[in-house]
Amino acid sequence: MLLHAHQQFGAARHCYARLVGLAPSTFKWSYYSALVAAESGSPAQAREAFDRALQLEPNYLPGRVRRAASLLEEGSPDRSAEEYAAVVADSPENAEAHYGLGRALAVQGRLKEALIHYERACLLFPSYSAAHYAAAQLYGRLGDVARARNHLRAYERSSRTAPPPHDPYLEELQRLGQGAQAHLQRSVALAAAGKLEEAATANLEAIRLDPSSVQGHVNLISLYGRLRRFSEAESQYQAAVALNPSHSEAHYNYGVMLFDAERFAEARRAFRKTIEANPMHADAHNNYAFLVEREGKPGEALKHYREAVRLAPAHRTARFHLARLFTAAGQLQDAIGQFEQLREPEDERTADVEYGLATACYRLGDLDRALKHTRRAHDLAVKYGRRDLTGRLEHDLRVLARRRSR
Amino acid sequence: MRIGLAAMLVIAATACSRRPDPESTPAPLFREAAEEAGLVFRHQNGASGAFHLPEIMGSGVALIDYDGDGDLDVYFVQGDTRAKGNRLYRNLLIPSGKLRFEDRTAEARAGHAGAGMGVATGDYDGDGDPDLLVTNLGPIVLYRNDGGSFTDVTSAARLASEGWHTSASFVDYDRDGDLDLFVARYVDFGPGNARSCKGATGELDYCTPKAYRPVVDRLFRNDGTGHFTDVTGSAGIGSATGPGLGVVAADFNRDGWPEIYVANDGEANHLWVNQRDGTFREAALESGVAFGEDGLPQAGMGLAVADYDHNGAEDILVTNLTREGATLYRNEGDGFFTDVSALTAVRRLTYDHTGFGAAWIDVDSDERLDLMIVNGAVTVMESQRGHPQPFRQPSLLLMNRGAAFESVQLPAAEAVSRGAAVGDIDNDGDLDVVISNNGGPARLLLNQAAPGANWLRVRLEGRQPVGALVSLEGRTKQTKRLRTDGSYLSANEGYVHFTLATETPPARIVVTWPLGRKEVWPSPQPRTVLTLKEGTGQAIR
Repeated sequence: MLLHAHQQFGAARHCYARLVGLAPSTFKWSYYSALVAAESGSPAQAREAFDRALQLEPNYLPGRVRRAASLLEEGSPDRSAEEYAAVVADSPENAEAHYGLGRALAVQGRLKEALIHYERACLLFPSYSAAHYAAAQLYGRLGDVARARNHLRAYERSSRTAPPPHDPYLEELQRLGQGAQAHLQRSVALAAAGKLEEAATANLEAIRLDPSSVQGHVNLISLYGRLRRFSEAESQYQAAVALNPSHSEAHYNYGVMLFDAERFAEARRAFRKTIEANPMHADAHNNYAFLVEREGKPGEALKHYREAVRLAPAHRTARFHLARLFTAAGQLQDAIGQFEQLREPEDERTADVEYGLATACYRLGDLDRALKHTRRAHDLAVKYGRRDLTGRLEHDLRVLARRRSR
Repeated sequence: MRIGLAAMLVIAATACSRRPDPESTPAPLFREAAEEAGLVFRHQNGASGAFHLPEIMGSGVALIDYDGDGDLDVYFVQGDTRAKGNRLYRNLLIPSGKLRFEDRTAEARAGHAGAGMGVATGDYDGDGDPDLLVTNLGPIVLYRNDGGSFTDVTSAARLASEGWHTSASFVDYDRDGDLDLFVARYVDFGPGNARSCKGATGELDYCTPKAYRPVVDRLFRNDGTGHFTDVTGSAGIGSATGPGLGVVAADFNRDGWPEIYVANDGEANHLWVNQRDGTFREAALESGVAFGEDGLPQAGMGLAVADYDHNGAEDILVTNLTREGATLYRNEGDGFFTDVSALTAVRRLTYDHTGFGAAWIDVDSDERLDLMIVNGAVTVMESQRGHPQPFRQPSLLLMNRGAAFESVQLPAAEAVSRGAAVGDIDNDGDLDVVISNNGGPARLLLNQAAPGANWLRVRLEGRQPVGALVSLEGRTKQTKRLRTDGSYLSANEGYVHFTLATETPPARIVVTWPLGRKEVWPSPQPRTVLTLKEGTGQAIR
C-alpha cells in the first residue's frame, strides 16, 4: 500500500498479486490490485481485478463505478453503460455514475440520452467540472449554443472539482500516501516562509509515515543545520546515506551544515563527495573551492571555481571568486574579463565587483580606470549602506588621487 | 589594496501478405541505421546541474531536399550555445545509390549556433526550393535557400522576434499565394529569470512551465516580396497567451481557409479559426480541443494531424505527459471534435510515456494510418535516479487496427526523444523516421515493415502548394494534406505519401489546391513518384 500510495505502481502491483494469491478471499487486496492497474493505465487488468473483488463484495458501489470506468477505457462502452446504468438504478444520487453513464452513452452515439445524465450529474454536484465540460461539448455539437455556453460558464466557475468518491478503501490509501507527501510539501513551503521549526516538525511526520523517504532526511539535514541543531542534522545525514549513499544533495546539505558548524575540513570532504556523486553540482564546486582556498590551495580552488562557472554561467558568487583568484595570481586581464561580466545587474554586491575591478586595474598600472572603479564602488557602497566598505574605499580614493597627482 | 570580499558561500540550496501476421513472430518493422549511414549528430543540451528548463525541451529535426537532387537531407538543431551549432547532413543516395550522409553544414552555410529549439521548412520566396526557419531560445533565424546553399535573411526579411520560440509553421493563412509564418512561443524564461525548482518533496528538478508566464505566439504575414510583417496583434493572435510547443495548420472546419492549432503545455490548447478576413478567433474550448475529455488541461507538446478514420476531416493527436496519455481528437466534420483517446486505446497505450514528436504513418501498408510517438520524461524518473539522464523512455508505434490501436515494439533504444520527422529517406517507397534525442545521438529508423507493398508519392508544383488536399480514390478514399509542420519542433518531408493495400491501381487522384482550384488526374500508377502541376489536371467542381 505504501508503494501504491507513492505511485510506485509496478512494485505495488507485484505485491498485491502476491497478496491476492495468499488471501484470495480478502476484498481489499483484489480491490487495491484493481485500483493500481487502473491508475497505471491497464484497464483490462483493472476490470478483471474489479471482477474478482466484486465477487467478494458485489454491492461495493465505488468498485462498481470504477469497474464501469475501466470497461469504458478498455473499449467496451456497451458493458460500461450497463454497469453504470445498474449503479444509477441502485443509487440515483450518485453523480459520478451519471457522468460515467453519460460518457458511455455518448460513445455509443446516444447523445441526447447522454445529455440527460450529464445534466443529472451537474444537478447532483453543481461544481462537477468534467460533467459541465462534457455537457457543453455535446450541446455544442447538437447546435444548442445557449446551453453549451451556460455549461462552459459553469465549467469555468467550477475550479476543476469532482464529487468526493466516498470510497473508504481509497481514502485509507490516500491517507497513507498523501500523508507523507503532503507533510513534505508543507515542510518545503514552511521552510521557504522561514518557519524552520514548523518545517522540521512537518518533515519528521513525513518520515514517520514513510521511513524510506530519502528526501525527507535530506531536507532535515538542511533544516536542522539552519536551526543549528547540528547533532540532529548529523543523524539525518546518516539516515539519508544509509538509504542512498550517493545522494548528492544529502552530502551537499551536510557540507553546508558542517560549514555552519565551522567544521571546515569535514565540510570540504562532504562537498568533495557531492561532486563525486554529481560532477555537475556547481554550488558544490564553488563551496569546495572556497574551502580548499582557505586551506592554502589557490590552484585547486581556481580549478573548481572555473568549473562552477562553466557549469553555471549565471553563478555570480563563483565568478566573483574566480576573478578574485585571477587577480591574486596576476592574471589581471582574465580577472577584469570576469569582473566585467558581474557589473550587471546592479545589487548590493556590485560594490565588491567594482572594487575588484579597481584592484585589477591598479595592478595593471591603469590608475585612471582604478580611480573610476573605486569611485563607482564607493557610490554603490553608500547607496546600499555597505559600511564595511565605505571607509576603506574613501581611504583608497585618497591614496589613488595622491598617486595620480604625482 | 585588498579586494572587499563578503563571504559568499552558497548555503541555501536544498533542496506480400504485406501486413505482419499476428500469429507469427513479426519481423522488425524498422531498422536503426543512423551510425552506419553516417548520421552521427549528437544533441548537446548544455545541462549544468542547475536544471534550467530549456535544457530538457529541445531539439528538432527537419527532412529537406535542400539541394534538389531527389533525396532527403537532414537538418538538426543543436541546443547548447557552446556546441558547434546546427548541422546539415547531405544525403548521398543520389547519385551514389547508397544511403550515406555527409556533414555539409559549412558549405551550405546553415550552421546557426544558438540555444536551438526547432525548425520549419517552406518555400517562402516561391523560387522552388525549400527555405529554413530556425527557432531558438532567442531570436528566430530565416535561411533562404539559394539553390543548395543558404543565406541568413532574417533582417532583410524583417523577421524579428524575441523570446523562447518553439515549433513553427509556414502557412498561407490569407490565401494570397505566399507562405506566411506562425511561430509558437513557450514562456518568459530568460537569462535574468531562470528559476530553481524542486520536486514536490524538495529534490532539485526541472521546473514546470507554471514557474513562468506564458506568452503570445507570433504571426508574420508575407507580403510576397520577401518581407514579413508582424501581424500578431491585428490578426487576433495576441488575444491569448499559452505555453506553446506544437503547431500545425489545417483546414479543420473545411471552409477552404487554414486554421492553426497550438498545443500548449499545461494550459488550454488553442484553435485559431480563420475568419477569412486576415484575422483569427480562438475557439478551442467550444470546438472540444482545448482540454482532455474530463475538462482538465494537459501538457500538450507534439502534434500529428491526419484523417485517420477516413471521414474526410482531419483529426488531431496531441502528445502529453506521463499519466495523462496522448489525446486523440476525432474531427466530426462539423467543427466539433470528440476526445476518443479512451475509445481507441490511445490513452492507455501512451499512459506511461511523456510524448513529444509524433506522426501518422501507415507502417504496414493497410491504408490505415498508424501512429509513431517518440518519448522522454521532463522530470526525474524515480526508477532512473542516479543515471546521468534519468528521463529515458521508449518510442511507441501504435498500429491502427480499425476501431482501436495496439502497440508494437520499436528497435530504438530508450532515449530522451524530442523531435521526430518522417519521410522516405532511402527512396524505397515507404516512410522512415529520424529522431532527435535530447543530450544524445540522433536515430534513423528505416522502415522495413512491408517491402513489397505498393505506394504512391505525390509531389505538388503550383503557385504555392502547401496546404493542398490530395485524395486518392482506390480501395479506400485516402485524403492527405501537403504539409511539413506538426510533430514537435520538427519538419517532415514535403511530399504526400500514400500506401496501397492492393495491386489494383487507384481510379483517380484529386487535388484541391490552396486557392480553391480542384483538379483530377486519372489512373495514377502505383510505385511511382508523381509530380502534379497546378493547371495540368482536369478541372472539376
